[in-house]
Amino acid sequence: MSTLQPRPAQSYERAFQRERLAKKQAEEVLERRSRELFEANQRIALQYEKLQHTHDELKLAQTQLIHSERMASVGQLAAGIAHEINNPMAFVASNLNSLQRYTTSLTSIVNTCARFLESIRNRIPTCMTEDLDRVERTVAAENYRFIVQDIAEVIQESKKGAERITDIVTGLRNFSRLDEEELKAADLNEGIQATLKIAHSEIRYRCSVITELGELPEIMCHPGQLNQVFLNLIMNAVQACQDNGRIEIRTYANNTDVFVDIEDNGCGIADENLSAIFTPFFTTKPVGEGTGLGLSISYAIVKKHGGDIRVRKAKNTGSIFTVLLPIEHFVKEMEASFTVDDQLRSKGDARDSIS
Amino acid sequence: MREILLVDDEQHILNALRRELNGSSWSVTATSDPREAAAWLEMRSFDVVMSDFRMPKLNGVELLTRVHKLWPETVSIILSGYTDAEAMLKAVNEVELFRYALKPWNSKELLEMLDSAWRHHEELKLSQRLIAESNWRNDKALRREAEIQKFEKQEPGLTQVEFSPTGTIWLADEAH
Repeated sequence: MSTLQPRPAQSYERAFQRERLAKKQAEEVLERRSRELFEANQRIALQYEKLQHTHDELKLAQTQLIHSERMASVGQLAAGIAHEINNPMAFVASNLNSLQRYTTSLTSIVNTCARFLESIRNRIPTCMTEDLDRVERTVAAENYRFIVQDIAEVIQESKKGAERITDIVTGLRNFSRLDEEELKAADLNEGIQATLKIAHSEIRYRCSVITELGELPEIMCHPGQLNQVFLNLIMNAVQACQDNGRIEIRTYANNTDVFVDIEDNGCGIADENLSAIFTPFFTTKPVGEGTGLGLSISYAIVKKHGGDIRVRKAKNTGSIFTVLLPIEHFVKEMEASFTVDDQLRSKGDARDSIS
Repeated sequence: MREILLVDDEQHILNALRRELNGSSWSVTATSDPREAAAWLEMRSFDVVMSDFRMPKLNGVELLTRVHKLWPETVSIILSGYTDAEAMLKAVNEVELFRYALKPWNSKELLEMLDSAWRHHEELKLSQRLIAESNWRNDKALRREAEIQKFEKQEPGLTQVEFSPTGTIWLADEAH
């Protein structure tokens, strides 16, 4: 066996080289691993962020769902209550009417008696003048003249009140129609008027409302949901207003779209907030006063109708919100679904004829 | 006097309606129990029946269906606080409903509606009478026809006799 023994110096050099290579390789592996690890970490972080985002979106959708469901059940409740109010309202209004007739008769009877007593004053025996005086004293003491004058007013005012209750109930019924989820042709002006009736009590003491409702074509829409949009925008306008508030509501249309402008002369929206107002939970109101959902829900509803909400500054102070709704959005959608149906049907027919 | 039956489970509504009709040409009968109304209607008719829709035990449409079967000349009206479209449709289709009126009502409109209900009742009565009369005429004509056929059977040729314009009998050879 003849082996070639390397020289010690040479062998040390080789060992050293081998060691260095191994070390370098190990370092490379380590570096690659750590880079991979780092990248994986980054991916996880990214995915986490995405998940978080999805989670937020889901949470938001859920909140909106709960909110809109609550609005819907409030609507149903309101409609139920409206119906219940109609019965007592019916007899209150009717009785006020009867009361008015009765008092007219009573007053006429009493007046006739008074005139009669007056006319016989000079013809009755002296022993009875004292009785007559007593009658007249009673009439004066009971404030007859005032009562006769006031009673008509009392009844008239009560009738006005009854009429207003009836109006509110009608408004509630119109606003929260149970078939609101149904798609149907509606005139937005009617929706706005019904909504104004609902908001009347909130508006009354804070600002005046000027409406300039132009002629609009009927559009296919979910009227109840759009009323909710108008209510949100009108209430925002009211809340933006100080004393002497003024809200202008204009509607107009072109060939393709209808527009609703809601302008207020209130405090306006700060520039830095403009981009955030449609963000859910964004609110400038004190805690507990606003959900910060009104505009975001309105936006979602209008988007569903294929439209848009735009906001700009009004001339002096305040803001103008414009709701834009395409006239044909749902019509086109329906036509599209019909053609799909037709295609499916014709396919089905073809298959039938083959088999 | 025009006769009206009012049915509403809310006594206050009946009182209010009575007041509205007080001094008018309507004689008012009213009950807050729809079953009592049904029992009365078994015995007698009214010119107009105005009923609430939602009542316990017997609803307005059920009551008015009975009215329509028993008394076709009676005019039916629903007076309801509910504007439930489905109920309205059902009422109009099942009963020959004259009106579906809403609570709260307007006094003037209510009286006008009852006036036109009265006119409608008169028309129904007239058409019912005309139908009866024409039925009676029809019966009479049929009876006569049967009698003539009986004579013809007893005396063949008897009903074929012709009369001259003066009422004398034409003999066969005279006719030519």
